[in-house]
Amino acid sequence: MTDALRGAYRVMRTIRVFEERLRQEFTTGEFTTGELPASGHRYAGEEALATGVCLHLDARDAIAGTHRRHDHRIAKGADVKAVLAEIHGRQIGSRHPPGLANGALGGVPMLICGTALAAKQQDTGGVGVAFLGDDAANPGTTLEALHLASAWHLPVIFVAEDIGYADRVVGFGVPGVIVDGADFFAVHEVAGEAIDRARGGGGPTLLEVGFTRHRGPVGGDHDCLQRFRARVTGSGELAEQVLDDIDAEVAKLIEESVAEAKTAPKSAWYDSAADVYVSY
Amino acid sequence: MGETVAGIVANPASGRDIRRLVAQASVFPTSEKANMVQRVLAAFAVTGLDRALLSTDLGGISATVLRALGRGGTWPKVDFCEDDPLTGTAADTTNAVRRMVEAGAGVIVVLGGDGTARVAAAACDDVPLLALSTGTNNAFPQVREATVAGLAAGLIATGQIDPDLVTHRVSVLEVVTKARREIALVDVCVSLSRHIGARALWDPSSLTELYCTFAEPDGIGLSSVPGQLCPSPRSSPDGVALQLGPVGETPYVVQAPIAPGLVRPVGVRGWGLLRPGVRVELAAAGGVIALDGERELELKTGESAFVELKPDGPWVVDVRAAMAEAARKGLLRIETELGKERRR
Repeated sequence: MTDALRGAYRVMRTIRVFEERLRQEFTTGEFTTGELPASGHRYAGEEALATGVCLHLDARDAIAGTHRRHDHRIAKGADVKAVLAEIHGRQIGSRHPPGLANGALGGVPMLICGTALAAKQQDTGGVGVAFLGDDAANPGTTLEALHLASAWHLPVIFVAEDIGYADRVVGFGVPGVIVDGADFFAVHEVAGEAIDRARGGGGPTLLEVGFTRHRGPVGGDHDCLQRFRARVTGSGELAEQVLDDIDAEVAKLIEESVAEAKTAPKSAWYDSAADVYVSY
Repeated sequence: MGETVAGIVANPASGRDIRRLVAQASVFPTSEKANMVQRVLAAFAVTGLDRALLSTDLGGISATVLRALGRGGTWPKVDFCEDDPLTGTAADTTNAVRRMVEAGAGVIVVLGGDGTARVAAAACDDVPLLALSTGTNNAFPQVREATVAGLAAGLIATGQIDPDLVTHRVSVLEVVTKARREIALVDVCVSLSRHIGARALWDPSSLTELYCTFAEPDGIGLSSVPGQLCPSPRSSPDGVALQLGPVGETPYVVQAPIAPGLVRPVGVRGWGLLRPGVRVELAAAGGVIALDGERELELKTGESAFVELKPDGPWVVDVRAAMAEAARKGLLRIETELGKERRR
């Protein structure tokens, strides 16, 4: 159990420091390349959500997010160095799948229904998780996707950061559950049940999480990292020193990743047409 | 009597927890909660209540009522508790109830489940509560038509019915830890799980102790365990205390409906009466204490906690008794000229 707690904290901390470092790059213009082909929208304060959900996922599963997607990918296990290099338009190691993201926010739910349909037809036991935020829950395509997922009993988990959605899905016959998105333990438990249910053929679920999006430093009771720290040290499960050591490891990893990203070769594959067209 | 006031608190989050996934608990739609508020308001108007004070929320209940208010209707004056910022947590219920108490409410109608009623009970002082069920586990709130409940509440708030005749004080379980003091209306349970997690208690395997203010054989929730072993009516001043354990290691196993759709075997080592005023130390260190079916308190290793049955809980409205009193006094009855003629 303590290994799992350490792992969860490491992922949340990695997302936080990754974000903070990226923000520093954006605000100070520290990039030596002068180029930032990919954008880095803020996710600070929501690490518990990405981590609590994605720790239940494996290679069979697909995630789709909004433009705040980098963090979901880190939570699902993508190589931090590769993700950071990708934001710089550069490449480290083998090409990493960029994950599903959609600037048109309402597109995400339909895309994830596609992956879930594939998983169902191929009987892989895989699930699809769509992270919907920033009013992504309001376009008509989201309602179509909910309808589709319900009618076809697709293994999809819709994670809505918009308040009130747990109520709206009642008519689709999809269970809607409210969970505190800044509480890792709450998210982990609810997401685990929803994902197990989907894997077992139980159909889609909608998780409604509420957040205050942080633009500056994150702190106080809303800070999922501080809450996690207080609880695992209070219960005696992990010592402060163990968590401090993880902080140091993560800081080192991010600094190394930035340095490597800045000197890595320009990506041969960075192309706005990549993953858009295929040949038949 | 000056201005007559009654409060209505509606929890937008009730009926939305993990039990929709792990059991067949139903979702109580926001639109129906808003409808219930409007049915209570319509009944208030008939009783002649001057002013209703409503909670606000981000879930759409108060917004729906506000829209309906704009369309006009035969309601008392309606005000919203808008002075406290909404947090999306139980603090919103606490703040609204406190505002209603300050405003001189004669009754507070609470729409929610056991969790909402518990939070309201901790903040309502001596103002009677009328808890209507819109939650998941509903051992405490009543499943009643809101219109009738609104009539009963309105008649009490306007002083047409003496509250002493139709309200009674319920016992509560008070839990005290080093840092917190909380109450439960129905049950307190100790779990070996380390974290509060998704709050709702749905897995009985980790439970070690259970204390209940009452235990009814037809109850839902954890109190259904003693309900099948050692029933104790709501009217009894005593509660019950049970020692639980893993199924297979205990002399008794109860198939208990611990949540809607969840009938689970619960192992019981033994039980006894819980007398009022007796302070019991909970062996909860490093675990979690659940109040009315929701994991609420995480205890640090070595931290102690105590539970005590206290007879001075909130006053609650007996709707049936209130409506019987209304009938006895003829409060909702008008004799027309035709009736008078016939009587002559």
